[in-house]
Amino acid sequence: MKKAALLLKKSSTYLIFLLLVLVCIILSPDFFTPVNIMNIGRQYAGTIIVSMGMLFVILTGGIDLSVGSIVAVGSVVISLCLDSGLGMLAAVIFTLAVGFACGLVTGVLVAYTKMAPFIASVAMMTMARGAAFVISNGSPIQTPKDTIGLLGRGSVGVVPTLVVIAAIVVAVFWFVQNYTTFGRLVIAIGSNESAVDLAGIRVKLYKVGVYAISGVCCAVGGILICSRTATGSPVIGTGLELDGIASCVIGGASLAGGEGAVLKTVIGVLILALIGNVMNLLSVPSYPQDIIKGAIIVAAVLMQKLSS
Amino acid sequence: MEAAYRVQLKDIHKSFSGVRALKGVSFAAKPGEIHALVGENGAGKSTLMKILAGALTADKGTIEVDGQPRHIASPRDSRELGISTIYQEFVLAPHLTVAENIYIDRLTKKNRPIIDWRQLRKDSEKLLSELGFLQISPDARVCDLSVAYQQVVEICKSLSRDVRVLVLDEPSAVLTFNEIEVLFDLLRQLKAMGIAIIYISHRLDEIFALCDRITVMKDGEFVAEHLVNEIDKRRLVNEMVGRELSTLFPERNAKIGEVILEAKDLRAGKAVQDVSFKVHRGEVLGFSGLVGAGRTETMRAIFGADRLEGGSVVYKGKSVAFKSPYSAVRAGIGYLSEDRKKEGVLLTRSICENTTITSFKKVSKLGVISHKKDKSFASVILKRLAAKYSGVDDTVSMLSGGNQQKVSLAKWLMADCEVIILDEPTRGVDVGAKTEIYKNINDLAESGLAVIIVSSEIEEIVNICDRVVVMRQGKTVGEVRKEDMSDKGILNLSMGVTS
Repeated sequence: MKKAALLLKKSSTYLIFLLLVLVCIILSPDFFTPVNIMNIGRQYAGTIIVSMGMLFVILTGGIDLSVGSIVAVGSVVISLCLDSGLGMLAAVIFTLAVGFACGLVTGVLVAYTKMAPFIASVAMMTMARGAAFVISNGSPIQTPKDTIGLLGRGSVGVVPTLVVIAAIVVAVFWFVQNYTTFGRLVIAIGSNESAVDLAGIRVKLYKVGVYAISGVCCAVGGILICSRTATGSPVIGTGLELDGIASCVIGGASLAGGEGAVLKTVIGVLILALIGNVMNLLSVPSYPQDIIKGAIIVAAVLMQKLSS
Repeated sequence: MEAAYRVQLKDIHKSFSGVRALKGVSFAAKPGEIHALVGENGAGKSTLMKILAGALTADKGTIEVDGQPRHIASPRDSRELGISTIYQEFVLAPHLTVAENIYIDRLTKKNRPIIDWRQLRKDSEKLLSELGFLQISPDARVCDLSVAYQQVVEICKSLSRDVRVLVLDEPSAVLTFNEIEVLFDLLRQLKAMGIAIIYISHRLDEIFALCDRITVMKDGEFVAEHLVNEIDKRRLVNEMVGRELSTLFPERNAKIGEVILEAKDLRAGKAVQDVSFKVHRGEVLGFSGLVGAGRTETMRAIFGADRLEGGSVVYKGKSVAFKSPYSAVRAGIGYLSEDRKKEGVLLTRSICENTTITSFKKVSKLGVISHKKDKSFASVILKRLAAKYSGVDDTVSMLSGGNQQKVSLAKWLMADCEVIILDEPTRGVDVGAKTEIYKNINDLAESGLAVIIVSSEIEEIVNICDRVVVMRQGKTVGEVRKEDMSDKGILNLSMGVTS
């Protein structure tokens, strides 16, 4: 009995997900079709990657509200690079570097000036969004034919390339969390920062690290989202920070830090994705959708609290 | 006869997710007595008292107050029966005044929406003066008071509610010598008023000085009840531990080598004014002094956790000034904080993660951890400390205080340190765990490390240290060698009394 209860507690996120899948299948005959599933994958690959970066920030007890804006910067930067004739590889590397730099600034503010993560990342959120508009002149940028659009449309076998990329990123994060000193220290810092500091660990460096990584994840997210429409846009990614945070929390992460898991966060994204998808299939208008989405987030988190 | 007891707990059972914390414990306290509740960490004292306070509910068993069976389902029920508990961490609102804190849940009278400040002040003043604390102003903000006075405010808060049973959980742990005397006088006064006082403490001296009766618990069971004059310390310890404690303190076999660390004229903030001392390889050096003498602050400044403002530190023949714990640890210095929960352990993480955090090099390659090595490394150290746990994957919060302290200490045992600073290494730790910790401190010194121990327990300092440095008001005021050590001598130095 006790073991069963423990198992239930540990896997409550997965159970909620399976339940939701069942509900979706019952509600809409169009849901469980290869086309729809692949669509969800393409659509949410970017969100999954952004949530990975967000998770590591949250594990340290921080928060990164700038992710949506950095995604927009990423999409604008890559399209401009390609537009100006830069090669794919160079364009990608440059975009990742820009994302890294944005995260680095937030990280340095948080770690070295002891600014509250909320404030530092709101500042970055505002600046990055502004920068996205400035460099794009406020309008969408078409990418040249057959460059990044190939990525968005491409697939490996039957699986869309975007899904493959997201899966690789998730695998890397899973490995880092479970098998590396970095992953272990990130979660340790969230659990008790002063204790880790007194153990002789360079806490500040690790904190800068997670924000920088989050920045890179956003750049990747920006590239993937841009690839789907082959267009870079300064308006994309609004509200993405909230989806990212919600995914982590649905996946059992604590906003106080020190608790959270990679795979469960992926499930968190997928739960949000399914809700959105099935409501679209049922043609629920977008504003009521938001109400239902919010209610389901509350329900998912409450279910976890009750089972623990 | 039964009603002679103010409060009586009978055959109390309580389990936490299958683990039996209390196995049919009975306990009773009479009005007008101070009743000590003793036992090792994890014996179930706190659980029992939480049941009395309504913070937990018993699975089985009855509670009687003045002979009447009562059901206590919430802290409110407990409070209405006149039971009041004072925890180690006070539940005062630091930015409110003394008066506001005392009457926090009754700031207004029934059916009156407005606070009568004059009445409130008058009531508080009356309470404080009855206890002889006229020096505490009802208008003072609680955060401006000393810890001892904050405790008085807590007690006033209980008294304002017509308290009949007062439970104190390790009340003296945060107090200085003089303050403890004040607390004792206050408790004797309350006793004379007919209040039943339940006193939980690890400090046996205090129990013998203050209490009338003692109840001993072990492993969730009642062991014995004694009148305080019917038992001696040694027998009491044996009952608590359940075995004959041959020696609490290990045999010291010091082989003292050359000087490894020397501090001269250190200054750091207000707390450290002028500190100089030396420590040798193979030596256990004690740091004694009253609470607030600047011992912890000195150690933190040397370790790089706080800024060192003046003076010099020579380590292994080189002048150093560590800017962060990171550089101190790299140089081979370890520091165990006095505050286990805030700065010692990662409560929500596993035992293993806590233990190997300082020794990643030994369990990982290029940043990739080998889980097998990780676990076996942790088990080896914890075995040396005789820590009790079911698996290294358990979270530290599941352990008792003594075992948490062992885990906290474990991280430094094999971290290749040359100097280890232990700040209050046995605070809030039971007798059994203390012995293991002393043994390990001794082993460290014998393997050639220098160990610095900051401790407020003079008995501990006298028995495990080779030399003691005494601090008073931010300054090193004296040094006592092993052969000249006595409780009294050290105490006089710390208080500035010339004998």
